[in-house]
Amino acid sequence: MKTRTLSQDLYKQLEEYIDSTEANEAALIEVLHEAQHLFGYLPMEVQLFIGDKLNIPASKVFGVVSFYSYFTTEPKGKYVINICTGTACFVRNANAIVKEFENTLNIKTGETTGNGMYTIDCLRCVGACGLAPVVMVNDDVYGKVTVDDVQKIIAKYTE
Amino acid sequence: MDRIENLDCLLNKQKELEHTMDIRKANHDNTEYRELLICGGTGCVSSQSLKLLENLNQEIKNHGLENSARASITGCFGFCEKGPIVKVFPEDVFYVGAGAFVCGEETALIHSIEGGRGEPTTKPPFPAESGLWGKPTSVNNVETFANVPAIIINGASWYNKFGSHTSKGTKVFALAGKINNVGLVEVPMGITLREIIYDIGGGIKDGKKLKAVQTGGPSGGCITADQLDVEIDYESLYSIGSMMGSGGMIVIDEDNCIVDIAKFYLEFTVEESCGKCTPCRVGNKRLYEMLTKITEGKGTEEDLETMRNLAETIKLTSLCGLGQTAPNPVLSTMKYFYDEYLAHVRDKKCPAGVCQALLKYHISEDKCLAVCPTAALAEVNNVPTVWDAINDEKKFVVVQTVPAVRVALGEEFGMEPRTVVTGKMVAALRSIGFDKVFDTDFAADLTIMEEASPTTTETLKSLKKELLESIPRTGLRQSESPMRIQ
Repeated sequence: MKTRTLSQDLYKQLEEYIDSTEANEAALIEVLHEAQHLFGYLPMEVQLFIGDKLNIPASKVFGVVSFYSYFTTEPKGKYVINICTGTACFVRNANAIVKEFENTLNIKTGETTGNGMYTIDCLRCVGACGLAPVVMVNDDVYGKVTVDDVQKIIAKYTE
Repeated sequence: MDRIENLDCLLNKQKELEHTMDIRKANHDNTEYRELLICGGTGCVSSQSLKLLENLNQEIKNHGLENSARASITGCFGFCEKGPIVKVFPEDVFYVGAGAFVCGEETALIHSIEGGRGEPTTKPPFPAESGLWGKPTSVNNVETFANVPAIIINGASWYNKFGSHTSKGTKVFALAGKINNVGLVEVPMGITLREIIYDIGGGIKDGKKLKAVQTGGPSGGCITADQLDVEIDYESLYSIGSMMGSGGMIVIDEDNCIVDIAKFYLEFTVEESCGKCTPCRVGNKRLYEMLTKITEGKGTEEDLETMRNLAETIKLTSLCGLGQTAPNPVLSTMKYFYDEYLAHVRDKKCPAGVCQALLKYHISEDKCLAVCPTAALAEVNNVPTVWDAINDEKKFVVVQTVPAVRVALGEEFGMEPRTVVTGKMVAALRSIGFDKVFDTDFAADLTIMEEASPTTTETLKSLKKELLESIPRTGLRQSESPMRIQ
């Protein structure tokens, strides 16, 4: 079995959480939510740990992780820039916003900058169609974004 | 449960239900509060559920739990053979998903709650027979559930007052896209699209032209500007190839390319297809590829026919609602905007100017020359070509002069400013070897005259006729001194 490279403390917290649930297959999704909250992503070692604790095959854990768009097996940047490409945003030219972020940060959608600061992702509808096009940076929401706003948004998260 | 026979019964029922709602409110503040719901259906009553209720209330009292629990009677739970049934409300269970469009399908949603991949399964058995953990389950949209208390409190006839002949009540639409007032609107069924868009929505953004309204999300279709007066309900939307679906209503204007929109929806369903059944997993992917081909200007008319066939097949053979409705955006846009598809495949043009590969750029040399900051473009020296033409015995060479030259030329030769040198210029050009000199003044004058007064058009017509008759067959009448028509 692969050795664990991530913080033992986080594993301990995850274990405590799993023990607080019914610790069976039905709890898998909520356990994965907690694990991603703790580790930031779900690498193989975490998936194996969860499978072991819930007494279900790792293949089943991976099946669920890969099925849902919320779960990620890659570490993400400190600031995850989610550009809404739902229909309302799409017809209001969200694609131009995506391109501007890609050009400014010099990465493609789904990628993270070399310094681990920014990740660009697209998602479908954040439910704020009235503000289309919408951009979310972690939990901050920006509405009626124009191409010119992109630089200003990034500047807010520059350290 | 009591039968509702008159208004008093109904009002009593309302009071009971208000009490249930109060339990929820109380529970919100007090997480320890429990309601024991005891089945009062015939099966359970016959197995002593009423006695059970009495005993439970006694026990609650004995333990001093009046503030944290109470027992009350409800209607049939549907497990009559297992009676008496007691349900503890609420159970404090809250399930979270993790983002998958297909989980809107009821069996997929159930699998997701059970902790697995949200893949749909074939029906029957329907969830009402065997659903979550194999138990009968009612899966409905929040909007549906939200309507229930209002219907019970105000009665069915009240609810039936709203809506069209076939679809009753109201519907919430999420109005978005190229429209002035965006947001959620609750309207009675049977309202026309025109009322929603122009009265409530305040019309199209920036005064543009409405092209279509997309309803029902990625599973729905388009309604065209011609269908603005259709009364919106479940049946009418279905009959024009769209659907109510999520209640999304996206306004599309003339700046949006309809093929691009169809491609956008397909991209989404391809991403969200769970991959279980082949028509949806592979078929939609092929549809998406064909649409991409068309937007890149590589599509053919045969592709359109193939797409239609494929879309119909996917619709008929997919396992769940996602696959069965995924081709709707393609089918409905092809039905109503076939011209736009044809423009892409036959003329290789995108009428809305969205598809990059089909945009054609034209460089206007004069405009470029005038603004080029780096002198990247330079005027070409055609003097040798002109000499060749003059020296060619067989060629009849005409030189055309711009009006300003008759003055500018004199200044170049050191004459007083504003000296008119028309005669000298023409003589010089003739000496160089041009056969004729055509003065632009001639055409410029005609234009000015016509612009000055429309009545001169008639004069010009007769003049033109006269001129044409007098011009020798070698070509236009040339003048050695400029011809002036006053």
